[in-house]
Amino acid sequence: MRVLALLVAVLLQVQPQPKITVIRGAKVYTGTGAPLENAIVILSNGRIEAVGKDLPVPPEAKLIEAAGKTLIPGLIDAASRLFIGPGERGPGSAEQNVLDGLDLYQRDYLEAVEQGVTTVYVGPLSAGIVNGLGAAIRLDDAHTVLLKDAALKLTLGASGGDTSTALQRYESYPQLKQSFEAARLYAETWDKYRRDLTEFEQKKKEKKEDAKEPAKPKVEPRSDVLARALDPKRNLIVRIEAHSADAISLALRLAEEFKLRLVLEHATEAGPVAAAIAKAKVPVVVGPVFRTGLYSVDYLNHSAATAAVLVKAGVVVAIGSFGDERAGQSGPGATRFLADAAAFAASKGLTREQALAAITLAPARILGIDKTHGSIEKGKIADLALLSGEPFDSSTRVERTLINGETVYTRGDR
Amino acid sequence: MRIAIVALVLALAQTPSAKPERLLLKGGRLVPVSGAEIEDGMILIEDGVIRKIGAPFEVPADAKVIEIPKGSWILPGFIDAHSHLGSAFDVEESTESLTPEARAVEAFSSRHPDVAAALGSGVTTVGLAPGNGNLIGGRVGIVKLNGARYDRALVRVSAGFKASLGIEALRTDREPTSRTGAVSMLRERLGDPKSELRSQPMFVHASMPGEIESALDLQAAFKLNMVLVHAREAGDQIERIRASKVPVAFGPLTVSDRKETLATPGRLARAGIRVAFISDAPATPEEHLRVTAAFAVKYGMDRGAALRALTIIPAELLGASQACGSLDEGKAADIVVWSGDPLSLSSGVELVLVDGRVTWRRSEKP
Repeated sequence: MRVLALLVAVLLQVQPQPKITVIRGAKVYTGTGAPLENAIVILSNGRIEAVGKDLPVPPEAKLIEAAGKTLIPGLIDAASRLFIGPGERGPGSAEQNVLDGLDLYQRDYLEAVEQGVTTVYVGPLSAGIVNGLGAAIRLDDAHTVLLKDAALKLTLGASGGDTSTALQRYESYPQLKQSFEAARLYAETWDKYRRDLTEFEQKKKEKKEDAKEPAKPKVEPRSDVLARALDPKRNLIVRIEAHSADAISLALRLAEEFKLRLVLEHATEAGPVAAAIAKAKVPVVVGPVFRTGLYSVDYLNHSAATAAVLVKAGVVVAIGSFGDERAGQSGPGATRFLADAAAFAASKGLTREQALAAITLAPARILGIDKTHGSIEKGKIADLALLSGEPFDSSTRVERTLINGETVYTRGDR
Repeated sequence: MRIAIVALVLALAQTPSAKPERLLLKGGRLVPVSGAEIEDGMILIEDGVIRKIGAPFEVPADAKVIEIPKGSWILPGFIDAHSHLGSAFDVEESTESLTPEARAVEAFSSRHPDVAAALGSGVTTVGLAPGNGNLIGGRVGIVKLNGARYDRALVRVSAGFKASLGIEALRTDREPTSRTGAVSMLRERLGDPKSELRSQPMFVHASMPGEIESALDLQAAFKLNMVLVHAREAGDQIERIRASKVPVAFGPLTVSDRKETLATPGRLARAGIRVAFISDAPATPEEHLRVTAAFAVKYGMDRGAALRALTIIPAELLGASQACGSLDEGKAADIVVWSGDPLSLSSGVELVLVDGRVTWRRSEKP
């Protein structure tokens, strides 16, 4: 009994005080409704503890005075090229994860943090048809991996250069179909093996004469990843890069046939198929918004209005920075300009709220991390950006970026 | 016959010259660029020219009124000092390196899809330049983005020469093959006191530090009326550029640029150097001219300097500042109505007037 009391005492001592930070007086774009003026946001141990007006400030809290400033959720780039080395291209294979090829010592991410970006999805670049697995990474000092296998990236009918895309589509669609059919057979073979094995072990236990051990099928990592995308219980997200309207249609057809959890990337020429995308309830990562040096046929019908067209059709739209080499935007720099890309999309018909959602809550939903990220709500992770003024105004600057409740950037410090 | 003559006389009486066509823009925040901003002001346009601008004044009864919604900003149409709009890859004779008589405007197609796309960009005047593949590429011309056919869009066939010290001008199958050779050939040409090259401004493609140094050497030696084009790596030579009084046609800025490059236009302007922005279309579309300005502001350029770099300074560099580049009485009514501050990228173009005519209006559909 005495030992137990001692143990409790020790535990109480070791148990650290919750680390509480309070951001007081900011206008808060929660992402869930009208912004709250002059609000109080309480952060505890890296999470958002409370959001509201006239909340009591705990006396032990570290106070961040933010009157006249604006608080938004940390920005999420749903298609970043951060940490991808120069000249890097595929072709990957389904089981290869982009994480294994990233240069995590690149310092470019610091400039993205200065602009309020807290999480990025980095996918394999397109070369070939099945490009591999992408990952979601938090932009803290440790580059914490939020999701290792965030999505399987496929490419459908992108030129990868300046040649015609028609031939690519004829080739890539049946090839993708065959790959998924093969993966389906592979999954069935394994399912049968597991059933046979259970039966065999049962029979062995009962000492039956006809007990015969089934032959173990070969492990094929590539098919295994594709099979995960086909299995509704495992639910691996499939991202398909598609630019032209007919490539988008083919992607939708593929998703329907194989019941894929599809996310479209780019959807450059989405206009004519916007209603079909909405009907299929397929979200889209749109971009790049800035058309610079887009000589490739993939971007022939590029428009900064694509995000607005899709949102008006009822599609969940995230804006990704991409930084696509074929878009003349080589390198990881594009993530710095994520908010600018959203602002430019707003000039083409998105409301400012929709534009903000396209770089916060919508990418969180598309990545499947919206239970913990993308808005300022009780219980969510405290990834936040404190702005000097209204989002998207030319004079507004990011004053402070917080990841997991910790300040990782303060304006003027670097 | 007599009836016909009477009809003709009546018809002539109806022409604009007999009775000025008057248009009034009413409301909004006027940003003339040349002077102080005016809240809820008015602009009276007569036959395509700004007749009066200022606080509300008495308006001729026959003026057609366009009410500008509250919150809108009204600015002069932007001017792109260096572009190959509507003439991509068609603006240099590649067999010779000195083609001073070639005119970039000849390659301009008013029916090019990029030209149609540019009508709603907020840019109303474009300096059309030869490419950078020739030592002397030819003449920089001026067109207006008025949606009209080529001959009616053309303002001037020659506002200056285009020269290039870029690597693209150096080739192995003809002279020059090196920058040494390039500078030597230019010295020879410019050494002739009767050289036509000294009669007009010279727009010199110089982006890398060495190219900029060569350009400034030539300027100092021949007292050229020079404009540095691109000047992306000008950051280390600001003091020399300032001393030479050479203006800079800077840009375009993209998401890939280094922080130092993004900060360069702001540093140039702070040093007192005249800076104009360029799209270098089709490298970036005309609508990116404003994006370059917004990026420059984000990385430290003064707002007023950025607005001047989109309007009056490119007008000056193209020798067109008598006619455009600010909202001033007597200048062409090249006017763009924005939904808000044009340096905030979320603002969009609502209405474009070129020479007093509405050439573009935002439709409800995006």
